[in-house]
Order: sequence, then C-alpha cells, then structure tokens
Amino acid sequence: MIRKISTLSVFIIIGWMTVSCAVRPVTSPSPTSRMPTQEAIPPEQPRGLPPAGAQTIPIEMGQPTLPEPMALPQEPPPIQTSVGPDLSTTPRHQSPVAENPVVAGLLASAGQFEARGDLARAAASIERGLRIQPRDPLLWQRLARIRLEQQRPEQAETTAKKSIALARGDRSIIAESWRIIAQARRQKGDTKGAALATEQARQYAQ
Amino acid sequence: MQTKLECMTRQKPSKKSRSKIWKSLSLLLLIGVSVLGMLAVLYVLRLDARVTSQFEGRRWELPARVYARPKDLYTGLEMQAKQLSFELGQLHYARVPKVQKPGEYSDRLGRFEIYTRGFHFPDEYQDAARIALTIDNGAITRLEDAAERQPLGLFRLEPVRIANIYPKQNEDRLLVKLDQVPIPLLTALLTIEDQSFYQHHGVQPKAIFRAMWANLRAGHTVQGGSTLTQQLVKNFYLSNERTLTRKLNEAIMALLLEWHYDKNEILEAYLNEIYLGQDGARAIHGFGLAAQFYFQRDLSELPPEQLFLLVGMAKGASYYDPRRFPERALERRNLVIKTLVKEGLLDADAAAILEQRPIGVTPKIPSGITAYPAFLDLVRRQLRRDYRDEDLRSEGLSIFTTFDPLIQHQSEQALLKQLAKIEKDRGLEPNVLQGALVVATVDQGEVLAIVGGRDPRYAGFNRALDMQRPVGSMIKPAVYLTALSHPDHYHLLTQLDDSELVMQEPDGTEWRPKNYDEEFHAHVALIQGLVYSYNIATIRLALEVGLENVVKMVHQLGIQVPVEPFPSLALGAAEVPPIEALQMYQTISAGGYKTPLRAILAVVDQQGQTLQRYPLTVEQAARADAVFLLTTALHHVTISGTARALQYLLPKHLSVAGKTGTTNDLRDSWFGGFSGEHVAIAWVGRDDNESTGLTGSSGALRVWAEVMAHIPTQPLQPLQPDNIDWAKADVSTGLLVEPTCNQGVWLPFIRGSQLPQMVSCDVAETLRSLQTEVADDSAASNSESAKPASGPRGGSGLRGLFH
Repeated sequence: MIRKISTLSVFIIIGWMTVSCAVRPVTSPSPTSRMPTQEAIPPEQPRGLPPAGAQTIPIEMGQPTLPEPMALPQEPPPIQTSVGPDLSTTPRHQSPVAENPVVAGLLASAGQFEARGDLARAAASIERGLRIQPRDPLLWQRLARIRLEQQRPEQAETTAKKSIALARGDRSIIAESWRIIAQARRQKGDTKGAALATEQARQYAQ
Repeated sequence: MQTKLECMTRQKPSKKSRSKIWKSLSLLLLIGVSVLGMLAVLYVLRLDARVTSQFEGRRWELPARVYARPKDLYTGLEMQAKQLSFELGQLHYARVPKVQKPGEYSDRLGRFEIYTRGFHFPDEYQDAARIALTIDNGAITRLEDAAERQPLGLFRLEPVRIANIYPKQNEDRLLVKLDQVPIPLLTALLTIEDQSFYQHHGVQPKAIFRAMWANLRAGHTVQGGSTLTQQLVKNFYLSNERTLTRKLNEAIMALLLEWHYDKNEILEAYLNEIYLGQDGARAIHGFGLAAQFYFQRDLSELPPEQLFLLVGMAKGASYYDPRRFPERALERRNLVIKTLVKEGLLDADAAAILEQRPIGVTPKIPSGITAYPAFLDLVRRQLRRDYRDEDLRSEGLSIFTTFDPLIQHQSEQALLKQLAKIEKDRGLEPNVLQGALVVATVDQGEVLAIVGGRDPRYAGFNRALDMQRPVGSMIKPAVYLTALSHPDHYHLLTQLDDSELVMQEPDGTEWRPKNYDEEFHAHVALIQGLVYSYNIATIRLALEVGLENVVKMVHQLGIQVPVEPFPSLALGAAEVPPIEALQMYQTISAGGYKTPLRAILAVVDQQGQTLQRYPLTVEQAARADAVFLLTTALHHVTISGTARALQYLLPKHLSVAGKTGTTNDLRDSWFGGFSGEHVAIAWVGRDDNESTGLTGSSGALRVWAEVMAHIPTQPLQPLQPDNIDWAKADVSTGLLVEPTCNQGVWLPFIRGSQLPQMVSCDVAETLRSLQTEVADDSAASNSESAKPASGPRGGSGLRGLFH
C-alpha cells in the first residue's frame, strides 16, 4: 500500500518534471493593446452653404505707410484692372503655380503611392508639399482627388473648393476641380448637385 | 537543466532494499525527499515562469517619443545660417572641422556639410547621408549629396525629439540591437565584466570561489564573481539586498535564462537593461540611452574612450557618475583601457592617446519630461482621444507632431522680451505680467508653437489651453461676419448707429455701454465700427442680426466653449481659451475654410508601422466672399485702426490683418491676427486678474508683432472670390465716389449687394466738409493705440465695458 503511494508520488514528480521540461517559452508577439489603425477623421457633416464663387483675382493689400489718424487710408485700387464690372469676370489665364521642382517631385511620389493603393501615404506626400507651397491650387486639387479615392466625398468637395479659391482664375484648374466636385456629389448620391457641378466644369473648360 | 538533474536523483529512492527496517527507512526517506523535491520543483517552476514571462512578454516598457516636424531642406527655402545651426544644435549634432560620421556638421560661412543620422519617418526609412548646402542672403542656394556631388531636390533632417512619455516606473531606455552596438564596446564589456561569457552556462562556480577567496583575504568585497547573465538577472528580477537566498535565486535564474535563450539574446538584453544613471526620478537604463544622456549622441557615434567610460560605469553608475565624480570616472575609464592593453586587445600607443582625452560628458540637459510642456499638453490631449494612457507610456510609440522648434524659440523670446519691456516702460513691478501665445499655419491649421506662460519650461498651469478669460473685442469679427454674410442687407459702408444706447437688464437695472473713447459717434460706416472697435455700433449690429446668429457664427468659426446670447457677447464677454480663439482666426485667415487645428501628424509603433495618421481636413465654415470683406476690414485695423502701431512694428513689406481685444478695467490684453502664412493669438494679463493698465494694442499686440517680425512668413494674401467688385468709397459719408477722385478708399463689395449712391468728387468734398464736426468729434482720439492708458474705469451693467 505504502509502496504504491510512494511509487505514485514518484510518478507525480516525474510527471511534473516532464511537464516543466516541456514548458518551453512560446514566442508570441507582444500583447497588442487597443490600437486604432485607421485615420481619425471627424465625421463629415453636410453643409448647406452654396458653392463658393470661383476664380479669384490677386490683390495687393495695404501700402504700409502711416495713414492719417482718422480717415481710412487713401489706397490705390487693389489692382487697377480689377475694378469695373467686366474685368473681374474675365479671369486671367496665366497659371499661378510656380514651377517648383520640389513640389513636382512630391506630386510624383504621391502618384506612386496612389498607384500602389497607399492613399494615406499619398496624402501625406501632398501635405508635405503644402508645407512648402501652402497656396498651390494643384496640390489641394490632388488632395481632393485622393479624398475621393478614399471615399470621403465631403472632404473631396471642400478640398476641391479650396483649390478653386486658390486657383486665381486659372480656368483649367477650376474646371478640373468642379469635375472632382461632381464626382464627389455622385459618390454621395446627390445627382442634382453633381449635374450642377458638371455644368460648372463645362463652363470653365470652354 | 536543474530540473533534469533532479529527475535523476529522484529515482534513487525507488531502488529496492531487502530488510523491513531498510524498507521503512527508505520509505521515510522517500517521502521526505519527495516532499522536498516537490517543493524544490515548485520553487524552480515559479522562478522559471518569472524568468520566461518577463523575458518573453514585452521585455521592456518603452516610453513614447514625441518628435517635432522634420525640417525639409530645398533650394530656395528661406532660412538663415543661424537658424540651421539652431536646428542642428537641437538635434545635438557636433560641429567639427571635418565631417566624418553621422551626427556631425561643419559650417564655413554659410557653407554647410551635414552627415545626417538614419531615421525612420512615418512614410519611409531614410539612410544616413552626407549633404552639402549653401545659405546665402537668408535662403538655401545650393543643396547636394556630398558623396555623389549630385544636386538634391528635397532632403529632410531627422526631427528633433521634444518629449518622452515615460512608463509609470520612470524607467527610460533607448533600445539598441546587438548589431548596432559598436564592437569596441562589446569587446571592452566582455573583457571587463565576463571574459568567458560565451563559454559558461550562466554561473561560474570557479569565478565565484575565486572571488570569495579574494574577498576573504582582503576582508571585504574586492571582486564580484557574477557573470553577465547573473548581473542581468539581478537587474531584471531581483532587489538589491545581499543575502544568500538572493544569491541562490540569482544563480538558479541565471541557469534558467541560459537554458531558455541564446547568448546573443542575453547579451542584447543586458546591453539594454543595465542601469547607467539617474536623472531625477528617471532611471537611465541601457547603453543606448546612456550615450544620449551623457554625450547627447547616438551610441554608434561615440569615440572609443567614451564607450570605455560607459563600460566602466556598468560596475556602479552612481559611484562612477562622470558628472558628479569626474576624476573617479576618468580613473575607471583608464583602468578599462589598461585592462584592454593587458589583454592584448588594444595597442599601447592608441591607449596612451585615448587615456589623455578628456572625459567629454556634456552638461546635464534640463531634467524633466520635456522642454516644451505647453505643447506636449496639447499633444497629450489629442492622443488621449485615441489611446489609453498605459499604451502611451509603454508601447514605445513614436509620435510625430507639427511642432516647429524655431518658431517656438522665437515665440518664447518674443513673450519674455516684450513683457519685460512693457514692465520697464510702464514702471510695473518686474514679473507681474503673464502672457500666452499660440501660433499655427493659416492653410493647414498646424499648431507650430505654444507658450503657456512666462516660464516656458514650467509644466504648470497652461494659459494657452486652459485659461478662460473674456476675449474682448477680439470676438467682434464674428459679429461683423454674421452681418456681411447677408450681402442683401450689409456691406462695408452700411451705416451703423453708434449713438447712446440704454438697455434693461433682467433685474431692471440699466446698462449703458460705452465706447473706449467715451464718445458717441452717431452714424459710422460698418467698416469703421470694426476698424475703431466701436462698442455701441457693434452691439446694435449684433442685436440687428440676432444674438443667436452671432452665437452660431462664433461656433462655426471654431470656438467650442459655450457662449451666451447676451448683448455683452458682442463686446467679447465670452471666456475663451487662446487655443480656441486661434481656431476662430484660422478659419478667417484661410478665407472661411476651417481646418481643425492639429498638433499630431502620425503615430508609429515600435516596428515602424503607422498606426494612425491625422490628415488635413477642410470645412467651409463661412462664405468666402463675406470673409474676404471682413479680412479687408481687419487689414484696415492694422493700417489705421486700433492696431495701426503694427505699421512701425512690422517690416514694411509684411501686411497683416488682425484685431485687438481689451477687457473691463484693462485686465486682459489680446491680439489675434494673421499674415499670409501664420495665424497667432497673444494674450497679456495678470494671474490675479488685476488691471494691467494695458490695452490690446499696448500689450498683446507688441508680443504678436515681435513674433511675426522674426519668423519667416508671407504677407497677407486674402483669397478674392470672383463675385467681388471694387469701388472707391468715402467712408466718412458712406457714399461711393468716382474712381478718379483723389479722396476715398477702394473697398470690395459682393456683387449684387445694394451699393450706396455714387457721387462726384465735388459733391463728396462738400458733404465731407459738412460732416467735419462729426468727424472731428470722432477724430478726437478714438483708437486704442492713440490713447494712453487711463487706468481702470467703472464698467456698468451686464459684463461691463469691453473693448
């Protein structure tokens, strides 16, 4: 009897050892905690504002001279030619986009990321370009296109509008941005709005 | 191993014996040994679990690293040579005559050569590279790859690390991989600490006995017999007590560790675990961080004698602290060098040179988590929305922010300088004034700099984010924008009534708002109401357009704190933190396109995977044409209005737009405004909320101007929508004049709004002379900047007199 117990205990011990010998470290990745992986974009809300006006005309603000204390400064017209009803409706065709090779390079690398489907990185490249040329309408337009591909129609539309606001009358840029807006509205299911945008695009494309 | 050994011994009692006595004796023995064995096994098992779980699991909790924006370099970039030197200084680059390795640069009269360090950006890994560039006349004129002599289009420097978010235990380390560790360090470490590391099995009985013998002979501890593995175990799992039990545990755990893991894994763990110093509450672990802590360089950049110093310190980091006991540490370092010579691992001539070298530690950098607590505050708040605190502290995340060290530096300097100057000029007690400053980019809403108070290193109350003080007239643009958004009713020449106004408060008392100049101005043009910040005209306008609509506009522009629809809102009774005021002005500066302010661009995990990006987003928060009109008016504020002091405070070419704010009894002085590229809010006041004697113009405006004048920025370029027409206006009469008239000012109008009548130059002249009296009244001196501070005055009713 006692012998049985002792044999049993030996077995238990040996069993234990085998188990302990078998306890090998399992290499597993470090415990992952709650880590969001998607972009944190605030929910988009539709806005009821009418589409912003299109082309802009550059003006020179402010002649930095000390004016009289009371009267508003006797400024020359912001731009001589911009005064008068007809001139402001004839946009200038000269492209406002500086031929900056650095920005061109970033646009190209954004294109490569886009081609690979890495839209977040493509957007990051554009943002890097915007840090160099914050008012380049082509960069904003490209960002709008990426937002479209990211299925973010609200962002695509507002970003495209921003590019229009910065286009300083460049009709081809404005027309292209209206095309993006049209697509964005279609994406949202706003066919009527899309048609209006397409019409705008057509007008500027002429 | 240990367990296997016991497996053998345990079988012995099962041998048979002949006699009964033998039988029972052996039985007793068997039970005793079994129980003991079981306990021993349980004990070893427990130790084993501890060893493996800690070594396997996460190994280390790693702090999060917070980085500034990386500086993009390209031909044409506006940058002063001293600004580049500042940036390189922040990155702890060594200025040397001849550049040879990463982390070094040379500067010969604006001709820079930089050997950058490799860095893992969120989008790609950038190798270490040697670049050359020339800065001439405040801009980069040449940028090339110094090795290939090829021009470079764009190159980014690695970002400055601005903060660490530490694990709860305050352990800090910068992980190194074994193959990143310089060979001289490894050689010296193994020579000094454990020569037979690659041969033994965790413990070295011989070495222990040798050490015991040596210690016995000396009468005290002169030698340690611990292997690297034992030292690691000691550092890793055990307390510092010197008992036999601990020694025994140490030995068992060392054997277990060796049994489970290979030598290189153990060595790498040792290199990262070893305690090498203390910085206040923060414990410095591992050679990677020690290199940063003592030399502010990467481990791979250190010369041999500095590596040997670190090796020497492994024996006792506080005893050989090179900052506190430089001579002791130097002696220890040279002992390491001598030992290497003795072992034939170092040439005697080389050793002689190394021994002569100074100890080379840098002065201790300011202790604490960050030099920029105010900005880190904003980063933490934005992170807290997406991450748990413990993940931030332990997952080794890299957080890439929008922080700009150069602009932060200018902002801190500006605040300090101007507050001191104002105090001196006005005979105020030194340090009685406080201030706050926030700067962002116009179009991307990237927060570049935050100064939360006069001592920017102090991590206490952050005025830029948490202070809630009435913003005064700085709110007025929201009132005027509400009106201008209805072009069928309002334009810049719309006549406003600035005559005396009496309002009944709910409790029956009367409120008679006043203008800053204590005058009434009968009728004024809308643009004048804003340019000269007339209170009564603004209140009437706010009532006309509806206070609820003003509240709506305030929120649309980006202010989140609740504001009440009281008439005093029009004068800025709303208590708004500077960062929210910044959002409001960002929206205006970007032509009505609001971009939510961002401090973080991306969060990257230890493996270099981007966990999250915070992308640029745009909302159309206000009509572009109305914002254009408003911006024109805000520009006039800086030319002829309450902020016209800017005409001599800023460089001639730098046109800006903005608005002053002054509160009741001159307690708070505000300025919010923007150039073509930067938008900023400045506040000056007292923590005890007493009067400062300052208007927006004589206080905050000075700070704001000081920043704008010193950062590279672009002049104002408001975006003109295509439905804008310009007309020449006579502001005093509120009529349009013929474009040929000498008098008058060009103003923008939204097409389709009801334009005032146009008169000939002669008629305008006559009307103006008729109005001279009125004009004279108002001309008296009704701009804040023109009038000396006249001390506290009694506010009446509601929230009193705001300006």
